Amino acid sequence: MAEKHDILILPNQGDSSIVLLETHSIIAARGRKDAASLMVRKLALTSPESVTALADHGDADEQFSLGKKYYSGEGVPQDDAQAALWFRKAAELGHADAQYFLGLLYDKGEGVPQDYAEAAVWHRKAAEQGHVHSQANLAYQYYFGQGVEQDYSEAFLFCRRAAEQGLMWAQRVLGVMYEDGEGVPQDHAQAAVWYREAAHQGSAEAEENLAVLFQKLCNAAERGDANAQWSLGELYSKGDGTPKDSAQAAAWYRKAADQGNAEGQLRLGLLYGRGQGVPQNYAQAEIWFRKAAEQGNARAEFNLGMLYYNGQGVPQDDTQAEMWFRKAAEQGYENAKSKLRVLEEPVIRWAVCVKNLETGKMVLITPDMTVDTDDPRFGDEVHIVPVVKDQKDPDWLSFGVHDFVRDCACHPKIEPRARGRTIISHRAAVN
Amino acid sequence: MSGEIVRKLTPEEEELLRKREELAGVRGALAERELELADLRAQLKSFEGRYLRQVGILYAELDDWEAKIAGIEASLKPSATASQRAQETRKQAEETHEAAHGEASKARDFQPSADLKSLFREAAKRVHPDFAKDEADRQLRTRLMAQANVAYSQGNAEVLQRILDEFGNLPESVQGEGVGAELVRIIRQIHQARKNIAAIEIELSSLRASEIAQLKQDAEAAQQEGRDLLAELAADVRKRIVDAKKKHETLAVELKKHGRET
Repeated sequence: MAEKHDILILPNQGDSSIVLLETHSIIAARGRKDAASLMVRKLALTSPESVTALADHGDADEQFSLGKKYYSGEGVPQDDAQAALWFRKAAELGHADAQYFLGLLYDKGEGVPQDYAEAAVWHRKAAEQGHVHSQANLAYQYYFGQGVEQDYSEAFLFCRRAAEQGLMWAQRVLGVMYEDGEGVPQDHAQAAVWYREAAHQGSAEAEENLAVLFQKLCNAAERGDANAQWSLGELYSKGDGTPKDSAQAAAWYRKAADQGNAEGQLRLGLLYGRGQGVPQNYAQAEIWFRKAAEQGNARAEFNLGMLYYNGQGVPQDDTQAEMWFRKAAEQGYENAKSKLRVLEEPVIRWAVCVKNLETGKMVLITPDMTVDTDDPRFGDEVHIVPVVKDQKDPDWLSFGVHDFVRDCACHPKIEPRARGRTIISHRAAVN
Repeated sequence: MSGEIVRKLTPEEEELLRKREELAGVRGALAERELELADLRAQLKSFEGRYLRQVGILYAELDDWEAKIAGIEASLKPSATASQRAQETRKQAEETHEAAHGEASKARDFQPSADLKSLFREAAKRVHPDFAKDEADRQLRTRLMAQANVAYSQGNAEVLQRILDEFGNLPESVQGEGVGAELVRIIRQIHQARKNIAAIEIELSSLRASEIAQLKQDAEAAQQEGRDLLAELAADVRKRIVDAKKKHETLAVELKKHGRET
């Protein structure tokens, strides 16, 4: 038997040979796919007819790359007509790059009869799929009415989409459209923003446009044009075309605001709120927000609401806050809508509770709670606790601390969410 | 009258004879299927090894360059999508590397001789666990069958021969079993073997549907036309590697200009 047992002691690595090969199916599948597209390309060299049948069943990617090869003459004899044929096949299947290339061929009349209208058709298809160069080309065609009816609004729309995707050309042109009020209400501040974006990418023309715009605004502002004063404030506040300078910004905003310019009033209020270029002062912020809000400026309405909501510069007043949020929300101001939702919810707010080491009692820090964790009076024990607030009862903070803690402990939903030294604003937590 | 005295078989004995014949036929069929399965596995494994060595490692290299490119792009133009892309391409590169350089890539070429095939067929017929007389016997046979499979995939005729020499006559009937008991045992064995044949059929067809089997088929079809599919694939991937290297170089120069680190 000993001999018989020998035979059973074979090298064991063989066992792995019985394990199946499925684990490698990804790399094998890749080989198959590449081999298939290789075959299509090969066939294309020898007989374009036979490949038609194959690629007709193939995917748009394959057709597109075949088109590109014909277009550039890479590996095949350069042939614009063949390129157009393959681009069209892929384009009809919705391939964005192919649509763009087909648009280009029509634009230049390569491989197809020159036709701006057809170019616009294909560029639009690609543009709507987010193809940035097609967006730019389409914007150009609308701007000059090339193959389409001249239409600044359409040009602006597509130009903005391309600009937002970071295309330098589109950013500069968008600046021009804002500056000249083409397809969009004139807005020098926005013009400056987009000139700066393009200039950052190295557009010398945008740089020059920005400098000219800045000079133009300076002149107009000096002459007392409120709009120009506000725009100049914007340029100073963001550092567009001039070094950033909050004090200068505040000065120009004030000139515009004094003339009753709502945007200027809003911006001045914001600077007061943040203490930028002027000493921080909520009372001043409130004055300017109110002036702008009374002119129906949505953002000012919202910010006035925030002052009431936080009790900054005015006594805390959720009713007032709600009123102003509602006004802003009615104008479609998103932040105001979400604040309204917060106000309307049966409120669970988050509060920070710390132990005062001197008295040994838990202290509720609220409403604008930031805990100075280095305050030696407080120990390590910091709780963040939800406080159920009855909206009808604005005195929710007048609970005795012990009542509060007891109430929290009784509430079924309540458990301390976090422990340890934490700085938190309950408002931030609510949002 | 021949004067010969013939014992008349009882109906059970007649049935037993028939079943013995049937069993012999099923054994042959099962052995044939086992051979087919062992052969397909070995063929695929060896093809896979060749594919990984010839093409897989190039994919690994290509993916590595792509990952490097995505890494540089992410630091040239940092964004959430760019860094996610860099991570994903790096992960893919690692997976490809693992697949291309793993154990499977070491599989040797496999060309079984007619001799090896018939040795395996015979061994499968003799030692298959479906024909064990009891549990201990079944365990021994299971091990032997596994050995035979390994030996086949390694082209090791010697081991198959030894299995046959030493275990070729494993007793199957139990001493003093009696006609009735033997009949029951054989019927069970036939049933078991048929079930096994069906299971092997399923495994065969799922193996044939696997990506590697399909690729092998493509390669064989190409060979019919005088083409070498794996060589073509390899050449194509090599070209793409050259392109990727160029792109990497350009990006690396750009990165240097911007003074950022990879």
